[in-house]
Amino acid sequence: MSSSDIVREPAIEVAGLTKRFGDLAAVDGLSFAVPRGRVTGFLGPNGAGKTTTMRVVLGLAEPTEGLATILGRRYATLDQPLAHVGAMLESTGFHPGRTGRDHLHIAARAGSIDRERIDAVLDQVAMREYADRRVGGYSSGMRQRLGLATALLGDPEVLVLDEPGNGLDPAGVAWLRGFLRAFADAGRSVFVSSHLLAEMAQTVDRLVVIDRGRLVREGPVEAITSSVAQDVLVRSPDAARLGPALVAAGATVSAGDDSAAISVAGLPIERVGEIAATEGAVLHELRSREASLEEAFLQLTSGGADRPQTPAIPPPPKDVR
Amino acid sequence: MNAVFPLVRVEVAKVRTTRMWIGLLLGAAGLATLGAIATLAIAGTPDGLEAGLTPIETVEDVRDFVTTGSIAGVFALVLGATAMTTEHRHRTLSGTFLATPKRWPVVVAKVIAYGVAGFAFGVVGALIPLVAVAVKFAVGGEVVPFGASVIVAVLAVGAGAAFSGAMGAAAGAALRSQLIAIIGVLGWALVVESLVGAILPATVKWFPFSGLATSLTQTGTDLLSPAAAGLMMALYLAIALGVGLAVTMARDVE
Repeated sequence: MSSSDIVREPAIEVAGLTKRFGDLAAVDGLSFAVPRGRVTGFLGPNGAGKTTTMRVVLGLAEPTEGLATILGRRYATLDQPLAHVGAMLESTGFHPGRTGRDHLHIAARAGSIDRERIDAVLDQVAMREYADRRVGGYSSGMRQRLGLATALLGDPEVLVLDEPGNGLDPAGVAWLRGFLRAFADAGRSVFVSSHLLAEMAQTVDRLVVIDRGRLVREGPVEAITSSVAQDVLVRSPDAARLGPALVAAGATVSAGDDSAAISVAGLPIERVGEIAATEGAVLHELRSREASLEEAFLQLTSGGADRPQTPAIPPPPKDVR
Repeated sequence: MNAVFPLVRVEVAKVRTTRMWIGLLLGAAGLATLGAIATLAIAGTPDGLEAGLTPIETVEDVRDFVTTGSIAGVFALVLGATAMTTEHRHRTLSGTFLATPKRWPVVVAKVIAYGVAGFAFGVVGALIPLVAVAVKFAVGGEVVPFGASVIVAVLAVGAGAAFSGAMGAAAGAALRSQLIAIIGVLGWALVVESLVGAILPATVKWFPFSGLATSLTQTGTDLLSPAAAGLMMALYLAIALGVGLAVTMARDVE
């Protein structure tokens, strides 16, 4: 990051944002910043307020309280906004009777954007071949690419993307990941929500995690994953005997990848090793495991509250002799 | 208004790049054609005379006959009602307001664009009976009586349909549902005005679609002057546009 980036305002800044629908606070006192030149992921369970926040940032919804600015200004006050901000919201649609090219043509004219950009963005998302077909015949992946092309039309400094990977095939997701990386490496900024956590982990520099409309954590991906509880992987032919001993010592034990592996949470790795020695258990593997983004996400939010838990190790069967 | 005029071209492009306008224009042209043929078939016959349909012989007769194309205004009204509601229906409004976040120029541009489209509908509607009567005269080896008043009548039918298109767009801006918007404007224009007019005939001349539109093409003691009708139309349009703008500015976009 250059010194000029440091003194410039963030790409997006949200301060004390609250959005109520009747008695329901979809967003509740939310504050965070999206720095320039970075890919910032926006995570939260369904209904956490991600799309509502993005709609407020883009001037499509009025906040009940607080302020959201983009490039230091409210979106509605930007001159030629499409030349500064490209956006793709999950809820945005297309007229099915219009061709992809006509859709882009209308967007370009509305945004005072040079028509030469239409073919440029169609090439960028590999859609030129389908541009003269009506959108009603597009697959969901093609619609997603057309949405991205629309967002890129004004060659913007900031991209705001709501679930851009939805409907893309694996090649499309890989392309999107590379594209967002290159976009940020060129000094531009991306604010992207996605529930594809593995993709998010590979793509983003920073995360903003929200739950029930409130900020849960904000910062670099590594800082967030390392801040949540880690577990210890134990691989032992004596796992069935070792598990109950670890539970008795206060650990939470769940099944691992195979019958010889168990995952131990709530005890430091040194203590796990000591208990194994006490029990005379043979160890084939003992290592501390950092939480994945998915595990961090589930721990930080209520996203895992309604999900079935990994089955705990059942008690050893009593010998029947 | 500098913010509005480029958007009028955008709105015209939105109309042009979908097929709704084609269907509605064909409907308008079809009804105008049927009406013209039926009228020409019975005008001057005993049945026609009983119904008040005298033979078309003079420039004035041709001028009055041209106004039967006003039926196109109903189709312009429906087209106008779809201006904003189509954006709700296909969830394109967020894209529209991302390009123009101030919003009001979009609504004003829609009203102008659908007014222009309505004018075109009205002119087509008026030209159909004119062509039909010209053909009838030509078949009889005669030239249809023609004068400036006929041209004024064609333009007046166009103006009435322009008002319908613009009113549809302004009134529809306050609504999300396309079905409710279409049923609402048709119900008002075809049912409410007729029912109230039947009960209170003196009020008809103040109604936007029956009384005022008729005032542009006909004269009579029970009608306003064209100038007064134009002013009343502007007032109705201003009220509908005001409501449409207020709702559009205040409402969150899905």
